[in-house]
Amino acid sequence: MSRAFSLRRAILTSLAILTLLAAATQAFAVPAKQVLKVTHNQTFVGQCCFSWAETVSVGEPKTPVPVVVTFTTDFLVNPPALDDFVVGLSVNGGPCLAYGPVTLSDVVIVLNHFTERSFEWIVPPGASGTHKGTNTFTLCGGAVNHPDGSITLGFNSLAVRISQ
Amino acid sequence: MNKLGIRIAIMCLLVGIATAAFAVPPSEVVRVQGNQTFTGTCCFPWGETVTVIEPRVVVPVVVTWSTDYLTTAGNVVFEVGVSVNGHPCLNRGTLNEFVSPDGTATSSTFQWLISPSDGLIKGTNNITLCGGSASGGSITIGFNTLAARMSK
Repeated sequence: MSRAFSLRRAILTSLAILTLLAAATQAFAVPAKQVLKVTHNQTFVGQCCFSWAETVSVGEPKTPVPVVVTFTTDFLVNPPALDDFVVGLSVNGGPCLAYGPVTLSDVVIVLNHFTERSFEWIVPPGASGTHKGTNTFTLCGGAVNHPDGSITLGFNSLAVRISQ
Repeated sequence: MNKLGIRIAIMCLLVGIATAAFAVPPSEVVRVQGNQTFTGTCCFPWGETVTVIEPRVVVPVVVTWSTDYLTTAGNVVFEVGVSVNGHPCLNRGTLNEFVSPDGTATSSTFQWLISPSDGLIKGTNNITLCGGSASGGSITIGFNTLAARMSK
């Protein structure tokens, strides 16, 4: 085998390795559609459940795996109803369901002062409506008791991941 | 060139395996959709366990527990943490008294960093939720999730 041929083979192999590594690294970065940051206030009025207009999406592999969704928010329950609120997820436009804790309670609220909560939800594969390819996860919820219950979400973030 | 093709195929296979390895294994997450009431002094297992497989060189694990809860009245304070492979309950956080006039719960989320010195070993590791009361009373845990992920 000539020295020139060996050198050419080494260069091609190195290029292939570098290309694959670059592709793999990019694959592990967090795609923009998997995260959402809201930096303004939004007020929602009504009894559970309706869309809260925040959606993230993630691609599932051929064999779907559990999806972890994290929601962190400032919030304020508004008078006069001062109701408790619940929050959950609509997966691929399906019904608003609980995938973990749901409570945004009014009891600790001091009027006009935001408080914060964090939730981590687990969406299991299959039964919850996730499937191979792109899946959407939309925040939803509403007041527990009163049709005129009102909640203001402050700065918040919604994130989904299937990978570490 | 055939050898080069074989090498590239092997590398593609390795990248595919690596991608699968980064997906969340079902054993690393638990979701509970019912209520559980606990009474007793800290600390005892709360019946929720996740499992992680550590590599040869053990790395830290991040555990997140997110829950609805309510307590009985009377200055009730509960502690909650994790037990690694049956070791004592570590990293305990506080769930303060929450009593609602209409019986609804509140929510809380904890994130714990488990270090190799906390009892992690190469291979399978069981991480169990644990806790108990610091002041009497009882706590009811509602819908909750427990998830572990290894740092990479």
